[in-house]
Amino acid sequence: MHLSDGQLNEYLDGALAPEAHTEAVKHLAACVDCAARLTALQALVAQIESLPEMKLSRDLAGPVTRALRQRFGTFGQRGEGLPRWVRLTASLQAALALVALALAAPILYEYVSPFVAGTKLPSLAELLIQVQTQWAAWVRSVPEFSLPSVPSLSLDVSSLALTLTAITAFLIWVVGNGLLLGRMTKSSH
Amino acid sequence: MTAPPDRDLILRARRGEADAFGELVSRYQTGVFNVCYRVLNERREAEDLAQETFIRAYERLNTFDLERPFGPWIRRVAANLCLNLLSSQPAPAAELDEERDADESQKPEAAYEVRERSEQIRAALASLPSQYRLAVELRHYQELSYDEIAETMGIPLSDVKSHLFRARKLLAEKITRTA
Repeated sequence: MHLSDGQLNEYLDGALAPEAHTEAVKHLAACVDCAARLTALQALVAQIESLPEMKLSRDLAGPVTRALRQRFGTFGQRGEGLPRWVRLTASLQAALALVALALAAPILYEYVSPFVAGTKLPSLAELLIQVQTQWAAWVRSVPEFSLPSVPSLSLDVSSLALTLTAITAFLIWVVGNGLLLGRMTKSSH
Repeated sequence: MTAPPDRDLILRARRGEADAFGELVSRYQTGVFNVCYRVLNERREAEDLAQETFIRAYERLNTFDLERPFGPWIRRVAANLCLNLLSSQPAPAAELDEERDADESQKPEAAYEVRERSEQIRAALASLPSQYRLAVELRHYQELSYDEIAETMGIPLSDVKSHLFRARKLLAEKITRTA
């Protein structure tokens, strides 16, 4: 009895059960007709699989990335574009910048007020001396500074600690912005 | 400079780097397009679906297993999209697209023969019912097992066997007739 077309197809695809496969191998070794049918089927499969690949008429990389930007707003999956530590750094540096601004408000006011009332602008050297003087005065005045609407805060802060804090805040601000800008530039290319 | 491995590109794409995903598209676009073209047999539609395949793939990139090769995965995404498209459309009359297969590395006579043979196979494939065509795509071009084809197409194993058997029978008749 010959192998059915179904059995031949499954034999070709290696989908026969082990026992059925062994039987098919024995039969194919002995039956010229079935062996010829199998050869024809193998030739057909070889023809199908030899089909050459067609070339694209356009590059898809550009349209795909543009479509993704349109769909998601930015290239990234709903806020997953930036790692968590970068987002935390950005938030921290924003908070530190606000604190620095609040602390600098009195010195800024004292620094700006002479220029508003005066008629002569200082030279660069005068400006630097003035900034240095104001900084020293501000560092001295901060420990005694208290807001009129809140209870008096007695702070014991050295000028070295203040200077280190200011430098640290500045570094965090620069590094945080650098990271954010760097990632934005990469993503926009 | 050596090209970065797919794994690195996928990790960078997951972090939102457009360049990295663009590189993956460049690497696999021809394979993906050919999946769509063999099943749909219409160039413009196949290119549009290839583009949509990459967009869908990006949305599912977090589910991709980095220990497995990217090529078979993305081609399977394409096959699934073809299946969805075919399921939503009425069966069209099979017509061969006006495309021509060409291999520029061969001599003109040999290239002509290859082209003719390829056209016969494409015409025969295009004439198959869409379910048979998809079964042939998954078995012969994506090398999936019967079980994997059944899972992808959402049909019983017995249907996979009969689809492949009948598809090959029809292909053999058509290719022999036109040879």
